[in-house]
Amino acid sequence: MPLRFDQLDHKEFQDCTSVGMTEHEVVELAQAFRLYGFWRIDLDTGLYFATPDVFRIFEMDITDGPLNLVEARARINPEDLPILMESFERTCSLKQSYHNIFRVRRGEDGWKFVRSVGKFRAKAGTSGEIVGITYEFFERLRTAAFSDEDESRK
Amino acid sequence: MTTAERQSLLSDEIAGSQTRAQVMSIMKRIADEFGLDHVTIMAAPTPHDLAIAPLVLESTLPQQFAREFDKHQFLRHCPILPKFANSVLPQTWYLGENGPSSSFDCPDKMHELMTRFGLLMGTIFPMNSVDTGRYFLRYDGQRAPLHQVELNELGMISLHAFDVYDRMRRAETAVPNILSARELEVLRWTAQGKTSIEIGQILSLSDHTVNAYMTNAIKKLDCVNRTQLVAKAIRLKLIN
Repeated sequence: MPLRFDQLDHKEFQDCTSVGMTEHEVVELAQAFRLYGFWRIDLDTGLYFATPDVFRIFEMDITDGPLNLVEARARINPEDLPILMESFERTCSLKQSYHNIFRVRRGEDGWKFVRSVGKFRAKAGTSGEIVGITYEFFERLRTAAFSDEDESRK
Repeated sequence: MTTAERQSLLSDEIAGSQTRAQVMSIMKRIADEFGLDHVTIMAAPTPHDLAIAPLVLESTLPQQFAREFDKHQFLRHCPILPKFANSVLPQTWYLGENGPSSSFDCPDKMHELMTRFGLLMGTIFPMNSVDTGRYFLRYDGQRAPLHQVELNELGMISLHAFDVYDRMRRAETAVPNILSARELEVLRWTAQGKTSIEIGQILSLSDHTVNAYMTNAIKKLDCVNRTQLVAKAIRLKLIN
């Protein structure tokens, strides 16, 4: 069953630099043990730009250009797709944040849980953007010894 | 809670549903309330159908069950379906524990499959859409057979749920006609990550023309931008 939350719980912002860490190090640590992707949607063009781990989560070939949503759609559990698309629709019209947990195909027969968190971001002269992160809900070791990924896709 | 209270409460929730997913979520709760494990909405099979999977609109049944069911083409051996050829009454079944019986006469492998997935009993309510389509609302589980009172209550709730669900389904299937073939084509390329200039090159159109098609589509589907349009088009299954 997919889950959706239309607003994020606005917690106290933790400034990593206050303990001497850089933002680069935060990203490095966040993606150390799981697939952890970043993305941005340009609302005016409808194009979805994503980092390689988003492609890996959807088990799609990594490209430099925008992600093919038609191909990604086929990898999302059909039961979860409507609520996920509704989140995008609401975020577009209400300019809000959201948080989804949904299922993405793992191989040919299995499913994995994925969490996606997005928020609206204003951009001068445009309708704005949605930026977000998507990561595998359950951790898996991202080491050579345990990885089940095709090496050529890393 | 009395039967009337439960029926009223569930009916209120069904009436408040906004999406097909929400209706299904409530229908799963309805199944739970009656001690049933699964609920399925499907088009009624015709004598020519060999597989169940293409007929299913929504279901909580495991996909593996449908795969194995269809692999052996058990639809042709289902002892319940022929009863709907001459009746609009709900049909119930109970597998029994000792293999196929006179009340559920089926191949041994079909009995084994249903037992393995815990589908020991069930009921089908035939439903008629106002667009004349015929559908089944099916429940499966492993409880004792439903009593007549339960069957009556479940039948009324199911009728209400199907009515709400079917209204959404008809509204969605009516949408594709709103967009022209060219607008759908441009929309599909946008969803595939192409810019207006790239789409123009693919379709031999100027990017201004592409933008005009997109603007029309945005208006027709009551959206505010391309991202919302793409999301809505995917949700409504306009893009294949």
